[in-house]
Amino acid sequence: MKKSDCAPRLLATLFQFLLLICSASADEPLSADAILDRPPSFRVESVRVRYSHFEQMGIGYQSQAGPARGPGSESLTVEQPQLEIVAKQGKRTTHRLWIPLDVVTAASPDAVDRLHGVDTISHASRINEGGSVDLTTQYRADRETSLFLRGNYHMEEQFRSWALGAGMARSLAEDNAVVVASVYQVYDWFDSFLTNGLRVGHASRSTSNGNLGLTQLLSPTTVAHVNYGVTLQVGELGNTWNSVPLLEGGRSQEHLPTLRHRHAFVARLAQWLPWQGALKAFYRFYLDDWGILAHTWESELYQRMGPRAYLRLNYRFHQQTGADFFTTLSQTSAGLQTADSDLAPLSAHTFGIMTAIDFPLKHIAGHLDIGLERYLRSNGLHASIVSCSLGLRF
Amino acid sequence: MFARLAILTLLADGCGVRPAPVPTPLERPLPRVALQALDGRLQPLPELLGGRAALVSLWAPWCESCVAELPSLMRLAERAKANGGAVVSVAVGESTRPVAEFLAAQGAARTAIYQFVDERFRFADALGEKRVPTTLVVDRRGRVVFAGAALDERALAALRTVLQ
Amino acid sequence: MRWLCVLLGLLSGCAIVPQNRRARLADPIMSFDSDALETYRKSKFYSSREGAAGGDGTPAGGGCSCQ
Repeated sequence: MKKSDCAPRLLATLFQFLLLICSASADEPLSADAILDRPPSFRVESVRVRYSHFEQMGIGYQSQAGPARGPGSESLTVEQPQLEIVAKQGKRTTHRLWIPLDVVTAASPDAVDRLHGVDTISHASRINEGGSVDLTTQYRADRETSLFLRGNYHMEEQFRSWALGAGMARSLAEDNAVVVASVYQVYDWFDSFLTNGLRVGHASRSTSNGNLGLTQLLSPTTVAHVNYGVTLQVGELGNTWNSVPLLEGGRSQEHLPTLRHRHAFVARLAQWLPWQGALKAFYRFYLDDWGILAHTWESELYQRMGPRAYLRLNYRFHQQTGADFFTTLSQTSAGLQTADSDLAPLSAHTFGIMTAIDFPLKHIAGHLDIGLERYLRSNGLHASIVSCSLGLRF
Repeated sequence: MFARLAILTLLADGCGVRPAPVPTPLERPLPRVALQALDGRLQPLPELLGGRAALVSLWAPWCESCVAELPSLMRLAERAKANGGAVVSVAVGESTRPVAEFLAAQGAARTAIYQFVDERFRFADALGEKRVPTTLVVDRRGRVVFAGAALDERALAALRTVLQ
Repeated sequence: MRWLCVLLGLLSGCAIVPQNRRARLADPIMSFDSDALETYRKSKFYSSREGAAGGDGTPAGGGCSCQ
């Protein structure tokens, strides 16, 4: 064969081959290529944004925004936007990117600057912006087992935090139970201040956390969840500008232990109600080695208002003993002491209402909700919260 | 977050990553349990098929991967019909009206798929199938020759075989 | 811890719910923490106001934002 004949023959063979492929797929109407959707290798599954606004009024003895030996203002406002994007990579891997922001104006750190004429807490005392970038990747290893990794970086004006977590979920008993175990490590690094606003270098703390949880289906309409979490904290464990009123006048620095063991046990139950509703009950027992013992009860009542909307009413009651070294008037500036109202013996009620609507768009499932909450704490603090959310599922 | 992961695992399991079911020739006869069509009439599946080979999908509107395979089933129904077969969809644990409304919202109200409900799970239980989605392939003699999870290449291969 | 193990064992022996009977459980209103952003909002709020908050499922402490 002459070399010049070779090219046309090759082209003809190639054409016949392509024709064969095309005709084969055309002749096979039930082939997988013709019927099945091939999922993209990377797909954004959902995007959700939430915006929350808090208005808090209250007093606490740790705050210098008040009389020298009395409680100071704990008034603050918070604007809290959040963004969450969930994406699927292949069949087994899911990524969740979450970016929460907090914009806080608070009277308590503000007072440090105002009273002492310094600005060492700087801009943070007037408006403190904090934000995190959090990425969780979940990998479905097999039908029963999922593994996940979580990384988080948090930044505020005088505060940095790094966190890393890992865990495993395993389904048992014909998928009627799921056990989740996780560990989490956080390292915080931040500026340290005296109560007069003087910066004294940096402080840090380490937080190590382990959790073991079980979710169990009890019936086609009932599901229960229990979780035990242990947290160990080491380092500077307070806001360093918190003060303690002194009997002799003036204010002392807050002195907290540099170690804290915390244990929390949670039990939850969700029950479907025959009138298209659901009741959820929550109980939490907490104990730590600072002397705080707490019980928290919460219930949520859901009522569907048609297939696409529902209403939620919620109530929460929290009761805790105070830290062993809590005081509102200290006799000495030495030794462990705090006047932080969060560490006082207290009880708190939260009342809330929320309504949500799911709306279908073309190939997108939309979700919109808005909720109001009122928080009342027994030691002179109350807050109002409004929060709304928009979610799109693709 | 962890509780959320757990409950998602519980619910998604039947719809997510499952081991490849072995397409064994089960040779089980289709149960003669009457299924309810969306217009309310009752009909046993063997009578409906009348000697045709079919792919039967057990599904539920709350199962995400069931809903995700709906467009594939619609394509398959058109082509199977042209080749003398049928695609039957059975919504388990559901009544007719919500399923009709759901399919209408999905743009799947008028298709070549035979739509039924199995409100009391009689059909699913008679087959011994406890999961959704479940995909069955039935030969011309009304025997179940393949049982798997979501619609996949193996189910299509089994359907091609019984249509030949 | 021993009691937790016993509890887990007892609970996992409960009635089996077939996967196709989980329609009610799949309703979003039955989900625990169905909205992680709201869970964070609550968690942050309480952990900044109650010394006993945190430690359940996620670490207590970490990140101030001075609330």
